Amino acid sequence: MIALLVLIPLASALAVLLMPQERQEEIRKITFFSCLATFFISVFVFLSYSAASGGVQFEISRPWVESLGIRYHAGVDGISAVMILLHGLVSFSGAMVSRSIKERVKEYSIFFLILVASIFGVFTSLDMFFLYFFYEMAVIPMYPLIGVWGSKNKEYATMKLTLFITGGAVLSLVGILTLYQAAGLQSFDLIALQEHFAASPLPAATQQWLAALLIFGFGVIASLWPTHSWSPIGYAAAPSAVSMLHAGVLKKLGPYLMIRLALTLVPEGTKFWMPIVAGLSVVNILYAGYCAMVQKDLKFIIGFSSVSHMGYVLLGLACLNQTGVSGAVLLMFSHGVMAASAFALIGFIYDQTHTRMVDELGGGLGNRIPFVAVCFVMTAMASSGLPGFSNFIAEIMIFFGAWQKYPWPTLAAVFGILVTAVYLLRLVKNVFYGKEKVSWPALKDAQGLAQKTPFVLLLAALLVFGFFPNLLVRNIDAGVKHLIAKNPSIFEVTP
Amino acid sequence: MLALGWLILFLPLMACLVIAGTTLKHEKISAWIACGALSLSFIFSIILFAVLAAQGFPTLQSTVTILPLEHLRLEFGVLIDRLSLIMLLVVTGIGSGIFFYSMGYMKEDKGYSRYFASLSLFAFSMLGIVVSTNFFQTFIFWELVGVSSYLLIGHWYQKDEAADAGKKAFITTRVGDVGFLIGILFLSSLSATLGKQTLDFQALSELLGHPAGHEFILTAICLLVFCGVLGKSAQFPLHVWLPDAMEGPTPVSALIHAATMVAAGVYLLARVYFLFILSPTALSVIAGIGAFTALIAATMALVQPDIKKILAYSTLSQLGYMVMAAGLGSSSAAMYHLVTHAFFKALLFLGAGSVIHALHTQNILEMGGLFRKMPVTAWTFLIGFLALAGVYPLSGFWSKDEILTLAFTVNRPLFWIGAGTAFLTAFYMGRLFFTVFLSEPKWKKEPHESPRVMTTPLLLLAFFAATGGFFGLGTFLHSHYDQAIAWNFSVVAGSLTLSLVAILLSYLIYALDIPLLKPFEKPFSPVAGLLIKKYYMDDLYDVLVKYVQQNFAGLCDLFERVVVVKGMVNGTAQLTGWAGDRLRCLQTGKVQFYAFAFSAGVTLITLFWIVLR
Repeated sequence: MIALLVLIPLASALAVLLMPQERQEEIRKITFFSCLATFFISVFVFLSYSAASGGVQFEISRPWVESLGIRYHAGVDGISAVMILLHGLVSFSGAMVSRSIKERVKEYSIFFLILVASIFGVFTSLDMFFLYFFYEMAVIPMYPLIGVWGSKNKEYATMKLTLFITGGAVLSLVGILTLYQAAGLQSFDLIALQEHFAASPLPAATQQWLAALLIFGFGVIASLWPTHSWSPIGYAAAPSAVSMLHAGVLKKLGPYLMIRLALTLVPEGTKFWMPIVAGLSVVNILYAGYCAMVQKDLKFIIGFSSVSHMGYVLLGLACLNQTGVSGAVLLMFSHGVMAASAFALIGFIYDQTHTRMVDELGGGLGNRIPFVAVCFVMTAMASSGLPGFSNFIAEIMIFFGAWQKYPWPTLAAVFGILVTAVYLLRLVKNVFYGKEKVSWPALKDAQGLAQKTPFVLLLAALLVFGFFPNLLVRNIDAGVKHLIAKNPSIFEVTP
Repeated sequence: MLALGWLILFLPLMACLVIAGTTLKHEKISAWIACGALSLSFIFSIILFAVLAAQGFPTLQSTVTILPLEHLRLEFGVLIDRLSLIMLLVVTGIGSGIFFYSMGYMKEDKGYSRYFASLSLFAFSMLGIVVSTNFFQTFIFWELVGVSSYLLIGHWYQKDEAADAGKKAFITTRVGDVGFLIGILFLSSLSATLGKQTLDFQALSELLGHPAGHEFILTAICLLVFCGVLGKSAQFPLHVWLPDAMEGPTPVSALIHAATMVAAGVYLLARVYFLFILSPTALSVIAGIGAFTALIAATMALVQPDIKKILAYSTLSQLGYMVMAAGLGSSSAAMYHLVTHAFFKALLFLGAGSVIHALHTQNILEMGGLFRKMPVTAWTFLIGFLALAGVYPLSGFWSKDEILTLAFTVNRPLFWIGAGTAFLTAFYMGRLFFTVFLSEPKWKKEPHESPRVMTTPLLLLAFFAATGGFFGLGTFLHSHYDQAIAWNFSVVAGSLTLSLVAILLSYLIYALDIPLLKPFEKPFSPVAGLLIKKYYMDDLYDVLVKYVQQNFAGLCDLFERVVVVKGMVNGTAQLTGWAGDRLRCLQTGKVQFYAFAFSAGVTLITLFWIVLR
């Protein structure tokens, strides 16, 4: 079942490759239906994952390169079930938003589908080799997607983004290979490795430098300060759907892989670095929040905002207690959906006005495009952690989790919600409220199912899980409990 | 019975969802859905009250768990006791009146359906605070009333002032909420130390029943929770958003920014009074802030020309009274004043709305002589004015004198501040009333009395504003945490005299135009300037935002561009490029050079080896 999540987009990419590029409509349809199919599968997987039994479900294991012990070993636990749902949701909305791409539709679709497949690959793999393989595979299509279909300063942006993320990946690859060697199992299998390291842990010093490689290597893609600077400019240059996937999902691979690899394989080393991660995460929250306050480009504001919110995710992760880590995963989901919605909406406006500068847009757009304005206000409210949206529950969980462990950083993080409110409300006011100072006669509101569905879908997800957070949290909690059961020593047992 | 409580809470939310989802285009239906839902809530509240009255008002609670984590249980529920029953009646009752009034007032507005959807969302959020069973739920709805207030202040979002005012209100109250949330975090760890981690009001009040030590942390918690009150109930120094919030439609000002939402802070004080009673230090800070707010707001009201802003400052001042009462040791006195104030202030705002509706101006200096033109508005406004001024036997008289008597026995300096405020209150309200209704007419177009849908709520509210003192609310709400208040004739007589003198003075000055103030104008003009400038508080915040916050943000951005991007990132790239450039020189392509380099290398290594040996 879950192999289909990877195979369907890959097969569709292959099909598109074989089609003549004039048949744009068919190519679009293939992309759309392929993402629709994976969306349904992701919903199915999420719904049928049983939190009560917990552990890894939907397991598949097939030998691949026997001599090196590489197997295609896939499965879903409580955490990845939620991340798969996130990716299904965002990639489907992204495919719908991609209709606005008019040039080289064929090539775009191929790269887009490869991107979608490889992210599903990361979330389902239980083999370190495949995990890394899919992770790198996700980075590659990003380069042409931004470089060719992007806007404004795109060559610089795509170069920077790719180099940064690859740089981080190389650091973590060193860690992964060392772990493979150190275990001496001739296997990349995560579960086997985990059991091995639980029985005979590596010495503390080795764990520390391995954890450093993994945490700060994957920290790059999680935009951990100060390796975040690829993120705002990368999103600004990327086409909407790519910004959506990148800010929404790809960025979450960082914390996800920290949980999967660092936390499970080198727990003691991870514990050593977590206070430093907590400190840096506060810098993320406040520094990026203040940077967002003075940006003039809409995508830069949301870009810095996402750097700021990743700070909350990392703070939650750094708590190493059940509440904090669960909150971090919930925020990965909630922020992913919210960021996708924000980038989709900005892209919708940019496609028609060809500017994203706040002062060039001139304000008062709410009158002209009420539907988009309402969606944007809701997105901004979700982002600033308003009750009713799942972001709020996630932030509350992180605050409660972090409060036990890092009281001072928590105070700073709570202050961060005020900073968020300031730059977002200012954005809303300057773009959508007030008098129309520049007239955009051609600007049209979202019309019809094709244009409205992505926004409605994303916001509805935030609202549903905001009102019934336990739908998500029970899965996440099952996953986190599993983690705790495997590494009781590093988790705080007392509340 | 609790099912009724849940229904009361969720009816307005359903109305909001139905309007937003289906009837945005059908304005009449939207309005009727909103009004119908809240009226039903009101009727259910009355039924609930009647049924529970027969049982002697037991405390009922039902909760559902929305997040059953091991170390964090987030619950959501309905708590029905005397306090929440009264507040339910006030919110749904006054709310329904104002909803109906809005039907007339907002006629022909472009965002008619949107208005009623937001109004219903507000009613839901406010009721959520009222029936809340725990701090977490209170915080949820605390934020939700913030956002519905933001939406309603900015209802006319095309107006820059309205958009700015909404933003200001949201952010200013959020400053308080940051403190509130930190207070909740402290409270949860304190409860964990005391044996059981909980945020539930009833559980906490039992847990904190016999406190041993923890004084410092309790004071900190109280003051942090009070930060939330500062924001929402607009107390000094977070009061600046409320006058600006008058940019919203007048019924919104009446319901949200006078009668209910701004009173939520006082309600919270009463709800968790078991906590505040544990920290005398926090209580005295609270009393001081309340008294100070009451006084400075009353002085600012003296010079305002805008009818709604006068009422807004008056609201600030009266909220200050309530907070002071809670700080002085009686939450029931605070709640009593909250209820009577809700009646007469809603009445005054709706009356002002009726005047604005007729004249299309908010400047009292452009009004005058409306008494004959708008008799219902004028008479009801008079009742509201006298009730606010505390004239016997109207509702404000009873509740205000309870607070003053309390202050007289507990804290003499605060009593004098309160008495001074009472004098100022009567005077600025006299100025407002006489200028608008009795002075020479200054309007050009003939005004007319408002339609029936607007005057009926006025009459109903006037009835309650007049008789609110006779329902025994003070004793009904009295809890065992409160100080007993003994009736003191001299205090009552004194404050009544003060009010009457102030009203007489204002009558002479503003209705009869006798220039009593002439000799004071010159020496006091700097004071008047200070008052018109609102003590420069807004300017101070502007400076803070514009220079401190913005410069700090600019500094971060500069650091990002120069150090992070140019220095670290592009620097690394340049270093790589430079190194490549240098290393390229080694690739000369000349065999002789390679041979030389090779032999030189061998020689060096050999030498090195020999020397080391």
